[in-house]
Amino acid sequence: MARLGRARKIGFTILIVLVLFVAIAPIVWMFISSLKSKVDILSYPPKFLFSPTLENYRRVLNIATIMRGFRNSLIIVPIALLIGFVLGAPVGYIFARIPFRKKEDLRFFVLTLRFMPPVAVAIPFFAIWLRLKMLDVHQALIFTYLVISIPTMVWLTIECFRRVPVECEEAAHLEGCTQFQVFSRIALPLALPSLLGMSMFVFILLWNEFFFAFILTSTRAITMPVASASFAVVGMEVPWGQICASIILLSIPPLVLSYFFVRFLPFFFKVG
Amino acid sequence: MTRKGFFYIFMVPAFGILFFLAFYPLGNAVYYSLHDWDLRLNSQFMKFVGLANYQRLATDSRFINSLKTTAIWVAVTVLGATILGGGILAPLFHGYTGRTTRTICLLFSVMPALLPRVGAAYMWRLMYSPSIGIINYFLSVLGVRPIDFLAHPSYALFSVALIDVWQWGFLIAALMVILIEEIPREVIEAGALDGARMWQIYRYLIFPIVLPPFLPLLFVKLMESLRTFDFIFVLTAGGPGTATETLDMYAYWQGIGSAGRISYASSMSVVMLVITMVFVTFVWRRSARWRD
Repeated sequence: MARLGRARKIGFTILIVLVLFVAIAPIVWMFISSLKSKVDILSYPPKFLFSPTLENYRRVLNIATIMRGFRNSLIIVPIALLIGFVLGAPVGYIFARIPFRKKEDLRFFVLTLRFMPPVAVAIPFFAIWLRLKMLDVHQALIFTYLVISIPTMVWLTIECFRRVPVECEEAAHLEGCTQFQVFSRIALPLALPSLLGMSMFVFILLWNEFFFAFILTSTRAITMPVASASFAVVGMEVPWGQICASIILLSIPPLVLSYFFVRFLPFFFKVG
Repeated sequence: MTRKGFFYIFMVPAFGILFFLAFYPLGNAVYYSLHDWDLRLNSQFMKFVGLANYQRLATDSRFINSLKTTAIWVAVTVLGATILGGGILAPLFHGYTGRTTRTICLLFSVMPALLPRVGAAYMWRLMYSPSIGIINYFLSVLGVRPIDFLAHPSYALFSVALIDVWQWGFLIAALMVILIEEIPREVIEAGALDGARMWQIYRYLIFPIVLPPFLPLLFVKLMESLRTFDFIFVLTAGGPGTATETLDMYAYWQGIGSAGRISYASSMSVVMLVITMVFVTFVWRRSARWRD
């Protein structure tokens, strides 16, 4: 703060730069490694100067599994998100605005769903989809993902709708709007920016999701995180160049969205 | 549409699906856990065995070990992330930065947490590598012999936990900065005028204000720690031996991984669900006074 001397200020600046470097060093290092040739990546001591190549990306984009994973993620994640929004956002509105009996109990139920151990959900679902012969089917994974998208949506949109000025809604009610019109013409448009922010967060959650996809899919419906992880066999030395390239591709969407995430950060306290 | 109609039209489908998603797997898990069933067998070979699976759990030393590992994992990651984020990084970011630097600090701080866990796991696996890893390279410059972080029984769990602390510590720091900024400036300035030192301002002014909204965050972190599968799966798969085998890792291994004992794994899922439910209910009841 203002009272700090010049020397201390410089000291703290250096400290902050170092700390921020620690925050992103693993990402940077993987990006650098993804540009290395096979020889460079395996050389020891690690090379900091080398001639960069896009060979790894070219190769990864020609691997059928990766491309299928990319395509599947681009289908499965938006659909699960959309269903979560359509079903979840109105419930968030109801929790925010309409009083009813047992409200707190239902809110608690939604919360517990968010915290269910994935293994406890995935093992029964594995058995269920297996018996229905629906393992490795897109629809099965989308349906299972609703266990993430709907509760998170409900939970996060409550605060979005609370921030809509209640006077606007009351005025609309007085003008003779039905409850649905108040929701669709007043609350929804006014809350839209924050609703989109929250949807983006759920998008990241689903995009990153590994465990359900890993257990419930194998080839046809495989998603990007599972495809990127499928290179390595535990314990064996791994094709690092291709892993680095595919992990970087996988990580780009969440990293790009991190700017918007920061803008909506204050929201996450109001929802607990 | 009347208010009532609106209420039912939107509540019924959403909660219909949610109830199904919650209770159908739960019911199935309980049902399987009371039977003896193997994935290799057709479901008509399912045999009712009562509580045998649960009795077996009580004497399964590997299960007990996984409970212990989970407890250590949760303690280390929650404490580590809280201390790093709340105790070290947040005061640093808050106290000594202007507007632009603040944005950069927040942006960089949320990046680790937004990464796919699989991605973060591979990034660290590359750096941890005993043969080509950059961490061992720096250690060797300092004269330390190479360490196989992920294959050493006593380091492995902590090496993986460090990644979790990295992800969550920075996220908690970012959230704490937001929290501290919501405190009116006058409060802090008044403290400074009264001659309080920086650490005293944090200890006696900021800490008590920030604590109530911070506790739910801590709770979320705790729940997330209980459900960490991805890191351990990608980095060590529970090994070496069972040194990093947490509860979900073991349940996965028994049920799907290689053993295929779906009924035995189901009994573990039930135990896990019960632990979680008891815990969440307890915290929810206690936290009632912070909610509106």
